[in-house]
Amino acid sequence: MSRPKKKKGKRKKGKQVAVQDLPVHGKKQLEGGLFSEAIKTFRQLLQQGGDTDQWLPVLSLAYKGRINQLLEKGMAKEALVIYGNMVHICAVEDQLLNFNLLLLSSKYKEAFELYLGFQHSLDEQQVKEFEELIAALLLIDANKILPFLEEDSLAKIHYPYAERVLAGYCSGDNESAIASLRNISFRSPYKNFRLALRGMLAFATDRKEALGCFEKIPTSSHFFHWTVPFRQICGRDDGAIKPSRIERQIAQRLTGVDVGTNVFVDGIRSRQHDPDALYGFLVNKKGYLSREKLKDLCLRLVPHALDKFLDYQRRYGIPNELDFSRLVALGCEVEHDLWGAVEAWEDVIEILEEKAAPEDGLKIALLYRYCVALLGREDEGYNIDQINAFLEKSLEHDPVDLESYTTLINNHRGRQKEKYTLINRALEIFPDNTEVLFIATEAAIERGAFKKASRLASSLLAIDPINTKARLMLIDAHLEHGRKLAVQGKYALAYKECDAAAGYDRANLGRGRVEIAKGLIFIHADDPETGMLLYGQGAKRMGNPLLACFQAGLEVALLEMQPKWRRHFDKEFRAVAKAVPDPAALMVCAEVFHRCKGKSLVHLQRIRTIIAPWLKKGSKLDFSREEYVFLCSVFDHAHYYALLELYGRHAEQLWPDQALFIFYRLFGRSQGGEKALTLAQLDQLREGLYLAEEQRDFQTAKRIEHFLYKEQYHARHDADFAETEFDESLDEAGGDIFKIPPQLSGGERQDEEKSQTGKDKPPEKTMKQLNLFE
Amino acid sequence: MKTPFEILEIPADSDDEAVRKAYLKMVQQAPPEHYPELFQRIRSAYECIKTEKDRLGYTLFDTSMPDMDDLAADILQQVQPGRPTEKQLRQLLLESVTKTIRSGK
Repeated sequence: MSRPKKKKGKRKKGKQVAVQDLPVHGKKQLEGGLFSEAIKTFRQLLQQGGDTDQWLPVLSLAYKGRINQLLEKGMAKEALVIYGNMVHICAVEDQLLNFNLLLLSSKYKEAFELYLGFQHSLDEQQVKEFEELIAALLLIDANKILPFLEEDSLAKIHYPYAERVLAGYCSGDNESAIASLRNISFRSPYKNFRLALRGMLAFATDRKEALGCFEKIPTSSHFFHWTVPFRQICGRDDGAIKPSRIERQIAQRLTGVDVGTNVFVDGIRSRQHDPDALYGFLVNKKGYLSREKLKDLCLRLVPHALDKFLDYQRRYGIPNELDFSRLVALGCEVEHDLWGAVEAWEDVIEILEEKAAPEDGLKIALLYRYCVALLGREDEGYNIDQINAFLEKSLEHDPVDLESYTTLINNHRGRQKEKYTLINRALEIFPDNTEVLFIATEAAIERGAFKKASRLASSLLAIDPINTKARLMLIDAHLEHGRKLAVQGKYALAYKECDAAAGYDRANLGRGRVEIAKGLIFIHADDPETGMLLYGQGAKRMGNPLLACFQAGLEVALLEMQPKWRRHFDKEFRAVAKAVPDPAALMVCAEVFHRCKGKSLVHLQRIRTIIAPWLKKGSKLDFSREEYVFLCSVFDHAHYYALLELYGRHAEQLWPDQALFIFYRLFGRSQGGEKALTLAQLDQLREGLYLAEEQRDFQTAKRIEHFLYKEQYHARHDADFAETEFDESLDEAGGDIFKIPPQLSGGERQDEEKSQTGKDKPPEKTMKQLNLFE
Repeated sequence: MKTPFEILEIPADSDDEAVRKAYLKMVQQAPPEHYPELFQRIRSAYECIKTEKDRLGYTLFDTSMPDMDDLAADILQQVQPGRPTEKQLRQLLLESVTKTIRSGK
């Protein structure tokens, strides 16, 4: 079946424009870049009797526009014809344009004849530019130009040398190139050629020198373009101009990298931070890497691009169960899903434990420790018991790991029995480790096992004789033991301990503490004369009478001395406590308080009362942030809330963005949670909480949260919030776990009744029964 | 990033002694006073796989992204640089001359 023939449409005739509309029409074409059409329109206008004076200049503009259009397309010969028409019709000549068109049309003879005609009108710079143009043209196509150049032309004279330089450079014959380069003078039209070649020759050995040469070439020079690929390789980008094809080719030859490799290298570099894209690119351009290398790269990329896991399995096979779980764990870790990562690592451990291969023991231990590290990285909510369980299991598989022991010991701070067992285990494995010895010494002092502490500290000092902390600890251990013996009436032994402590007291480490302690023991043994003498020596070494009195007061308390001596030293202490405090002495006092942490001293309370005004005055002294943190923590542990508030306030004024100081101030204000805070203070506490969370100070945030919750419940400032939280915690835990006993419900009712009668009492008992806060 | 094994140029199953030997050899070749950056790299690599535990830990837990700059440098190291040909230079010159004339300067 033949297809029906298409009807040929009638050729549309161009729209006829009325004569009076021709000027407007022509101008529109001119503005729209339709130069060919504009030429026709204006020629028609002139033929129809248009004003020649008015329209000939416009027509010449249209011609010039068309010439430029043709030149852009590389149609120089056609442009030359159009130029001829322009001259013929408009009687307008542009010699420079004509010259350029002749050159581009390779009509050199006519071009040079024309040049001779307008040469005299050019300035010196223009002549130089023309000469460089001739030099460049000679290097492009010498045969066509040489016949038209005069014999004394510098471009013609230096041309053979330039050719030899070029040939020498391109063939790698540097010596010949350099020899010929010397024949080209600095005044030659090849001046910039000379600079370019010098740089190009130096490029392989000294890029700095090469760049130095390139920098001297003006950008308007034709030879500047030769330097562009070199400059680009050196990282000197010439603006945002896209390099031409030939420039790219030269750059490739210079670097030795072909287009494909270049694309590959650029591709992997640009996708460096996009694992999905990088994976896709690598597997699609696999020709550039060996299969093994590619597989390895893809395997390392999979945790970062879990979407590609299936693709990886399709290409390289399904990994075994263990590797699979490992990749999932790493993927979770990359995604910051730490709980997911821990679960996946636990799967890996399970697989390894099932295999029960002895060589996997270390691997399992490392996996447990890694889980601990991951749980530690989790901002909140990690379970310390789980961490301890992981560490214990890791030690089962690899018992020689110091870090696991130290972490476990730290985690068992509240549970002394477990802690000491762990320390003993660590000591067995690491008998010469200073860290373990230090921890063990500390623990022995804590337990009152002073002999053991002395032995451990001596071992530590034998390994690390300049460990001042250990030395100080050893002094303390001997003094503590001496005091213990003195209280038992074993004075001779007590003096021996003091002498032993003195043996370690070098470089004024004990600051007279040993002498004061020994002196007070003498007084205790009814030898006040020797005692006071020793006390005087100690006080002198201490350098500060207040500190000496403070130390003496402490010794009186520790030795449980007679009231007459208590009164004697108290009197002296009160007298010196009126002095102006200095930061160093205050820090020493704080350290003493810190050392007394955990000791139940009845008499310490009295010393605190005496020294309180002095410490209060000290809050206005200048301390660093770290010193304030230490001082506040000491007062916090010593339950010295008035001072805690004072120091916290002062520190807060200096560092208002520190949540810790806000907490200390308000915690001190509330007497450690005993006194209710105002609504405004609660708000400040909440702000502190946000601040701590923002600063990722989770320890402070946790303390504030705990305090805030307790405060809100006790003070009933924000009953709605407390109740909601309370209900939520019950819901989360499950109603059946926390069944409120009937007596508790009754208690609550009683509370309500009491509060109605104005006898409100915080329901502490209730909370303890529920065990929510502990 | 290159793996520490690649940096020290040793197989992944090397023992402590082999790692140490490789490290010392590399340090001899790149002393810190002359090649501080390279030395730092070698040192980090050594610290990363110094002991059996370290090596096992690295093999199990490393999540670092492979460094593509290193890979690119490796690829580019294998190529031989050259010089442009006369033809290319003349073509580039012609391009420049034509551009200048067209712009009417």
